[in-house]
Amino acid sequence: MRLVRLMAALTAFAVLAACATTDVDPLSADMRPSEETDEAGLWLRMDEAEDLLQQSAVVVRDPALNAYLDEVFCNVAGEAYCDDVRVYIVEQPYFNANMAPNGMMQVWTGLLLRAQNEAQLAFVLGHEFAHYRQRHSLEQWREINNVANASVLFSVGVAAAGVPNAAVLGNFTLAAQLYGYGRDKEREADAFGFDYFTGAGYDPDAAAGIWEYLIDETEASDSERKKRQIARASIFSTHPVTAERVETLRRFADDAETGRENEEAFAAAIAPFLNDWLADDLVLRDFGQHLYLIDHKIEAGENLGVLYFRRGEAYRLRREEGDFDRALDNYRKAVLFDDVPAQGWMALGDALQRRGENAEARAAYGKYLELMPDAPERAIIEAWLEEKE
Amino acid sequence: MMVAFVRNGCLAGLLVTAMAGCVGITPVTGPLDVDGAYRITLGETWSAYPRDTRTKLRNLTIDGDALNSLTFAASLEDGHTLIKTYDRERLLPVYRSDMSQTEVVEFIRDSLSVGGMADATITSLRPEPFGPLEGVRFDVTGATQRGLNMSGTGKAAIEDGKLHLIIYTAPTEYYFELHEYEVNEILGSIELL
Repeated sequence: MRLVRLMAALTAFAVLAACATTDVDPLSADMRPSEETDEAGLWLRMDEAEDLLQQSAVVVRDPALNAYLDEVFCNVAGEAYCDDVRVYIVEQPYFNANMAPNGMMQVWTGLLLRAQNEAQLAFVLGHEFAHYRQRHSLEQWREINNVANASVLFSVGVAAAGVPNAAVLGNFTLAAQLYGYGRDKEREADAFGFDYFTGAGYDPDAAAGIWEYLIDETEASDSERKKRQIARASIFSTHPVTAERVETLRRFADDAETGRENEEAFAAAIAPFLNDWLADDLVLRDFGQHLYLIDHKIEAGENLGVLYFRRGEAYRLRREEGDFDRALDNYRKAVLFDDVPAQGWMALGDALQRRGENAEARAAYGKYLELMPDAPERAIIEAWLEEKE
Repeated sequence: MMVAFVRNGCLAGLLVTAMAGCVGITPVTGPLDVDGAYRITLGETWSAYPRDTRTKLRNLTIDGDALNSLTFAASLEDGHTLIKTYDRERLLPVYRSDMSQTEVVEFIRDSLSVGGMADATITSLRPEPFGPLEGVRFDVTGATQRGLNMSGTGKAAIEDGKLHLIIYTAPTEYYFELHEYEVNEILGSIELL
């Protein structure tokens, strides 16, 4: 018993001695850390990462879209912080945004694809900006160092006392803190982000709205793991999209003044990319989630040529019973709209050819080649047309 | 969220590095039989990695697989994926035996995307015999995640519902053209066994 008390006392002493303070003041505008600090080291590593990101093929460089996101960010963060954060649009089909301590923010196209209006985007940008301004990365870095020191000591202490399972538990708590900012910082970022985006005049319901949508979409997923992750509340859900988080944001919204959604401006900004981003999303082959996303967008009634075409593509690739008919039905609807991509005609031709409706297929292929004289499939189509003459 | 992505990437990189130390790379030239289905003839000497038992893909290179990579497989069955993963729940592009020629090339392009090629784009596809079979020839462009432009070309065909495929990829600058003639000769040398 004396040995256990001695181990506990030694461990507690060592933990306290190893801990650095994790409480830091918010960053002021145009502020860079002093060179001799651990924070400067973090910034330097992130500056190197940013250099790589700038050269990367996955960065979306479209000037109009980048200008739009910069404008929304400046609305939310205020002019003083406008130049402190660089927003990079990254072509990845997952719902994600992240913030580095040096002001490098990534917004992934899977998030832009799923946001329904500018207010929802503004909330996410405000949330990420809060991570930056509250210096959460620095706090996290210091917490990890402290926990790592404590974890090692905890392992040594309990192993010496003959309790190996408890040693394993010590490493689990460390792992939980390494992945993501942690629930407390996410809650804080939600609270500050909410203030930033409502302060800029956006609709307060958008904050809970984007998470509610994401939960519904994930429940439609073909991946049991994704469904489990969204439902699970444990120490490991460090970026928690939980009922509690949504409820908190709903409560904030109840006490806030109404604001603007800017749905049309947002739709106009992403419309030129909708077809490509949905194609990227389909590469993931999560048909349940993908079709939920498209159905939701079809309900909004915009970009119907693109959306019916993409829904047809999802059915064609899924190949469940009746899917070829569903695909053809969607292609037929898509070509009724002016915004149908040229590939919609190609897909219609293929679907009709599969059913042996050669005259209609010929007409659809003809339209495709008229719209796309340099179509990559031209030789394949012409060979088929020649064979059927 | 990003961390899990990076963590998985690091894990895969570590595994590849660890396995590379144990892999037997052998020089090959002349006729090469592919899983008893077809034969190609190599004019130059290539370095061959062992066939991957999960994906059934074989890989040859001359200057290192980041600089030129000839990947091929034979008799892939319905439901097969080209992506090597230890995650049994992961959703992936799969081959379907009723795919059209354009769908086969779409399957290859999507597999390249999942495998890490950014902006994978088919720039041309055209009918071209795969030995005595009706085959499809295609060209592809893309980039590595770091931004290095890549080019590729390949050929595929379905025989009795099973897929045969050959894909060559290399950096667009210098390396693609360096062995393009040899690759075209290989693609023209296919004989069914």
